[in-house]
Amino acid sequence: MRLCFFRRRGTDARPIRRVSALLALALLASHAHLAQAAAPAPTIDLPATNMSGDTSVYREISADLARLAASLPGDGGVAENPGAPGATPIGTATCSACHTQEQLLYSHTTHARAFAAGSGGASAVGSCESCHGPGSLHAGSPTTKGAIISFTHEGGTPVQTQTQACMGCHTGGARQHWLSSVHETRGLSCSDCHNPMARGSPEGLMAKRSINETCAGCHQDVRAKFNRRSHMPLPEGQMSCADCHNPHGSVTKPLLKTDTANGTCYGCHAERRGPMLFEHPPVRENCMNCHDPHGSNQQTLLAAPVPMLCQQCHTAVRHPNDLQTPAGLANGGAPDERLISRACLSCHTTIHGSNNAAGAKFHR
Amino acid sequence: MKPLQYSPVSLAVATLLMAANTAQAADGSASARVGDLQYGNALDPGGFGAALMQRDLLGYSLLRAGVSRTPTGDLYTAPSPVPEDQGLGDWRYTNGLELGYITQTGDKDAQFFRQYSDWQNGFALSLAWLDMWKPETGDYLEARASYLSEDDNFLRLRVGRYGDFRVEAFYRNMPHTLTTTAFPLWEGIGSDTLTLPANLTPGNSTPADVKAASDAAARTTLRVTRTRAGVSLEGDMGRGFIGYGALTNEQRNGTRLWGGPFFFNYPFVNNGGVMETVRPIDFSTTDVSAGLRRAGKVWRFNTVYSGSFFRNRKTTFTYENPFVIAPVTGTPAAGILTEGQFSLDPNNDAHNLRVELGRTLPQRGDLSLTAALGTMRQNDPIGLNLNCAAPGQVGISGMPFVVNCADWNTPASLSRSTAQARIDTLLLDAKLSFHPTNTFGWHLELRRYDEDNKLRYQAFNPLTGDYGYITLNGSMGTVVPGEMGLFNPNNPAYWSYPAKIGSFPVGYTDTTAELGGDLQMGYRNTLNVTYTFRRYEPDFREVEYTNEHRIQIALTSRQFAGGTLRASYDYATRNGGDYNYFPYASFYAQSLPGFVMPDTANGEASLFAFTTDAMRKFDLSDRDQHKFRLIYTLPVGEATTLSATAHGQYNSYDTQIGRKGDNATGLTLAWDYQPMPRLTLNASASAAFSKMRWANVADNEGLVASDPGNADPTFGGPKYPLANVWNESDRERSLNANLQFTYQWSRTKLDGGYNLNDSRGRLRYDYASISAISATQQAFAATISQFPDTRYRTHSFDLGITQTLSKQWSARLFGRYEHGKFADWHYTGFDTALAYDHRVYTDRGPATDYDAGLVGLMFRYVP
Amino acid sequence: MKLRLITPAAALLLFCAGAAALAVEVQDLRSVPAITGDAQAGATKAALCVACHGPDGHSMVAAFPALAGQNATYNYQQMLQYQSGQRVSAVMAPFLASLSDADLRDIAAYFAAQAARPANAAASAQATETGRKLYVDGDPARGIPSCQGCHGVNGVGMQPAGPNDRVPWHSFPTLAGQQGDYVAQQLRAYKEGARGGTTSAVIMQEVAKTLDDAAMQAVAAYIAAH
Repeated sequence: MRLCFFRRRGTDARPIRRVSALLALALLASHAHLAQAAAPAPTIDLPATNMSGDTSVYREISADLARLAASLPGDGGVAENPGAPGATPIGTATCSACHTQEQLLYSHTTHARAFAAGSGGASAVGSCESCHGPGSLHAGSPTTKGAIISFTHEGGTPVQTQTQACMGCHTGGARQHWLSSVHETRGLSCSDCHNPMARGSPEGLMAKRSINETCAGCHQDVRAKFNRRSHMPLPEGQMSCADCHNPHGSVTKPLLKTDTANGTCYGCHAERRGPMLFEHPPVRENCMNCHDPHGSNQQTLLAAPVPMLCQQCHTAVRHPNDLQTPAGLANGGAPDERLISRACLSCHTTIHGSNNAAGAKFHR
Repeated sequence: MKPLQYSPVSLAVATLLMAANTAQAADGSASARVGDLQYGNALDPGGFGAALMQRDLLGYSLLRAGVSRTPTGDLYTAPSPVPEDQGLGDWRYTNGLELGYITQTGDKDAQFFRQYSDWQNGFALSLAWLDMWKPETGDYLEARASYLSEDDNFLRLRVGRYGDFRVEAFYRNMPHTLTTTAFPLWEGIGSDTLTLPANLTPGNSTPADVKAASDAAARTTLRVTRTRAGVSLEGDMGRGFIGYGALTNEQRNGTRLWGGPFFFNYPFVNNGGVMETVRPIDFSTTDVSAGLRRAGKVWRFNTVYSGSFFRNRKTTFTYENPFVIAPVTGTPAAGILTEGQFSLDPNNDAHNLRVELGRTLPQRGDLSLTAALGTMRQNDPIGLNLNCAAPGQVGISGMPFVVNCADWNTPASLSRSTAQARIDTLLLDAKLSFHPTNTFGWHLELRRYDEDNKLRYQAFNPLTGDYGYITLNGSMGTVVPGEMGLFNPNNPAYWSYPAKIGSFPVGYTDTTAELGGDLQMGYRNTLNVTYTFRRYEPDFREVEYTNEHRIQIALTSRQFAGGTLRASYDYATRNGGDYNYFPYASFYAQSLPGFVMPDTANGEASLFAFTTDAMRKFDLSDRDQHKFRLIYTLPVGEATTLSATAHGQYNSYDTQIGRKGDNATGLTLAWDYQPMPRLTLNASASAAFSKMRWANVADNEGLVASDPGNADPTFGGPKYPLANVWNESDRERSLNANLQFTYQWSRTKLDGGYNLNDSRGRLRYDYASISAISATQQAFAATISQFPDTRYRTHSFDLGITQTLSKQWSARLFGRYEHGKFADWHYTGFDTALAYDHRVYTDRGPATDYDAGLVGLMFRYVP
Repeated sequence: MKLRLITPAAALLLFCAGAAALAVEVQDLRSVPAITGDAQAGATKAALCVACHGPDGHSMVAAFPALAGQNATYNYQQMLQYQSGQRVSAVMAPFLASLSDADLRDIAAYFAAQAARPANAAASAQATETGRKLYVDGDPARGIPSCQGCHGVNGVGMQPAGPNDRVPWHSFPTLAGQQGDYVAQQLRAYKEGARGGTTSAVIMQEVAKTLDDAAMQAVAAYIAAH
């Protein structure tokens, strides 16, 4: 969490302003505590928090910088809000005078603590305006929509402004491919899934109580599939949608983290990776040829019952292509191992590939 | 700007800050890794102690009541009160503990009740947490732990300093119960050697003996436990770079169902052998990853190396065979087949290095380049054809196809001793996107992925000069003459056998090009149109390439009848090159010099038609696809959100044989009601329907080698006649309903829920004539009806009362009741017997009817 | 609805290490509906009020608040608070003790219908300049929010942003025509915690904490002039 404001798109690279930003907040919030007498701050642009990384160095020179900041104008590290031209930052303390409860809930979140620490701990919890943009117009007229970056429904701020506010710091990494990703083109804002104003989920500052609940808000059908007879342990809380998918965008459809779908599966099922001496082509090419990753009414996440699934590709001579009827069940008139229990897999057991010289047909 | 007085130190800092003119992605690289993002268990799926958490009755703001909505219109979750923190020197901290006792009732061993949760009667730690931070410096430590049982627990630790570094560590155990109704015939379950009980003789027991032993088998639970531990470090490396390193290890231990082939039983009464064995799972997977990234104003760079090393401590699995495998000729077998063997998953290594580069461009543009190089390697010893001991033999005594164990049970019998398997992968992706005006944007993406399988293996035995392999542990060659599975150009008995002699190196190239445009219509509506072209080129498959054209139209509207609608429709059409119904000839003996085509009746040499020409494998066949998806969120008043989704996918494959179509349609409805922080209610219902159709043709097994039609692959010809065509469909419908509520008084909270799952699968078949049916079952065709439906239905009720006893203590009494019904025709008959002639099975299948519950009392202590 | 609330001071301003968390009962005014009443009937019932609050609600004495043009809902809520003792005043309590709920509504409606008039129109622009700056822009340097944001331009109050605006603007007091001394007095009461107990009051407590005496005087002077 550092130096994120330096890359605000469109703002000038004016390091001195950032220095002043950092210090001005120290000044602003610790008015009664700062030992050095601060120079009277001009009431024009009061910069918001800055995130200097090197906190120890900062603390040492904080007094000098405080004096420096006081005399400098600048907009520091606040989010850009094209909907509020001419607005200037007013600082966290001003916001929290009215937004008390919000500030209380927010103070225990990652952002608040990180911002507070980034300024050497000499300020209060982090700057509201780093995300919400400069607040002077909003403070003067809170009913004007768009005067402050609002991340909620009917807030009046375009989604693009909202996402750019977050991406100011959070670009790159898992969000390397955000632009033109499916969630982005469908007009989702970061705040559709995340709620950094309070810590409601153990990971990721989600909008609901967990990653899974958040995804299920829109993807109810996929979540319902996990309740089927065979499924991976997502409903039991052992894994999340984000274990396989990267909702922020990826180069592999559908939003997978690895080069291929199989690569994702191998993340937990490395035993299938091989490569094997004898491969089964649909297995090597795509696990989804046979399996449904979210949930299935068949055993082991298969997309169709065995042996029928196999019979959709195999019509070779003799035993694969016969129609199986209930007479072939264990208590039927002519029990048939090609139908009972594991069916084909009773004999073709190493179906994912075999490393045995006699495993060409996956018997061994 | 007024003239400034700079102190040298402040200038230095300013310079430093200017040099590090970057933004740094502020969250963990861990989120780009597969797995381990969610820590919870069945008692607390969220992993955060939500059940015992009260709601902050004041809500989010003093300025207005209620919760806000996301831009789409969903209600956020009402917040919980901020815990009071305490001081310890410069640190602040909160911590707490939830501990209690759980007891189970009813059919607690029902497989579905404990599939992924290891409920135990006894003490359970629902959650223990510690959250410490140092406001001034940003140091923090966060720990969470939960313990349901020794196979179901987790510990999660994070230590770091904001803006500087973070260390994450975790340890967790995840259980997976595969079956609780296993009755394995063998002893040594869990080891890599299964032996028969004392009263059975390997290779020489009667079906009655086997059945008696199977009936006497003890009930066993087969389960796998994954034990994972990992540590990762992420930190600021200076100059805007963030470095990341992680090490994770998983131990996977347990048992699961497996097979055991000793040739068919269905055409040969009292012969052959089919076994459902139990294999050991004893894996260790180590994952290493390291990454570096930097995001600046214009450039963003990310590179990740990931290495994965899989080790299997039990790569060979041996099991004893009880059944007599006897030649159909009536003559004695050359050897008694007592043992079968499997080569289990081999050790493998994988490496992947990915480099991603992104650059913002004018016109609100962006260029993103990705390249990833990977390799998967495996070089384990190749499993042997036979594991019988010298001087034993396998085959039919006196016939030409007898093999000596000594010629096949050593590594010297292989063309090479280790697999030398290797697949190299290359991913290249370039994406260009522009948003020149507020209303219009477009993007172009080119992607190419190549998997190059470098394995070249020929099954050849240098000791005997034979090509091919011993089929089915030697049983096929013991039962049927000439079916040992070997080809040898120097042996007249062997030189016409079309043995599979090579491994086809499966790989492919996948290229896509995508062009899309976004248009904003008005303030509230966006239209996206995307065209994607995909060319898929598999190696050594039935087609050289498939081309798929896809067009997707999507609409996002924020004012659709007051709510947000996201709708998309896809149409895709796939066609490919000429379909070669049997491209594998080069991997069979008929491609080798010295192969002698067998004579047929009219003197023409030909080989039987391996398969029919009309089959189109569904991953390569011509296909038309329609897909649609609708997600609708409607805010109603201040407290209600109604949402609905609908989806459908309709594939039709242009083929007479094989998968012909699969459709899936679904609808979900949800209601989220939060009128005040003390009351939340959500209800949802979903219904999903699917239908899959396929067809096949039974080959005319009456044709013998001398019949000319035997070599004719034509669909509708003598070998694959239309009279033998059969069609089948699988229709499934799955219903799910869920209701959850919480109501909070000042010191008491009541929460509960109900969940219903109801799935039904229905198979229906029809056939052109009775000869489509497996010959042994034809006699019953007139009287048999269709397969019984597969059913899975569970009702589960949860109820809990949480009472605040004092500032520090609260208690929660909760209960869960689950009722389930299950039916799957695969297990028909297993409730009475697991052995049928020369077949013996292990798993009786999940309980068809169960009632299980648990009651627990938890105490939460927050000092 | 009574709620528990931890005052935000402790958790919020971490550097104020000494502040301890206080648990306070808070009345939720966030969803109070706008009240209606009969202004005509209220005129009669308000006869007793004018003695201190002045004819038509324009108070003569600086310490007594003007009521002319005051938001009916706010007035109503304050009268309820006097009745219940949540807002303590030996003076007000007996006056309101005998009034029914309908009476309170009518009185509130009556005063709301009156036109506000500056208490000290003669004050010069120069004299109120500091207060004006504070009122309109606040002082970000000291964390003082703009009063205008909630109390409207020149204290006339705020209109909702739209039909979905859930902030109870109608329950926030107007300041136009208010007595300067009274304003200063109430700000002090908020700052010291003497006045509190509702969600709106808690907000005002936090705002008042940002003001020192000089700032309070300046703002009061400005309000008095408008």
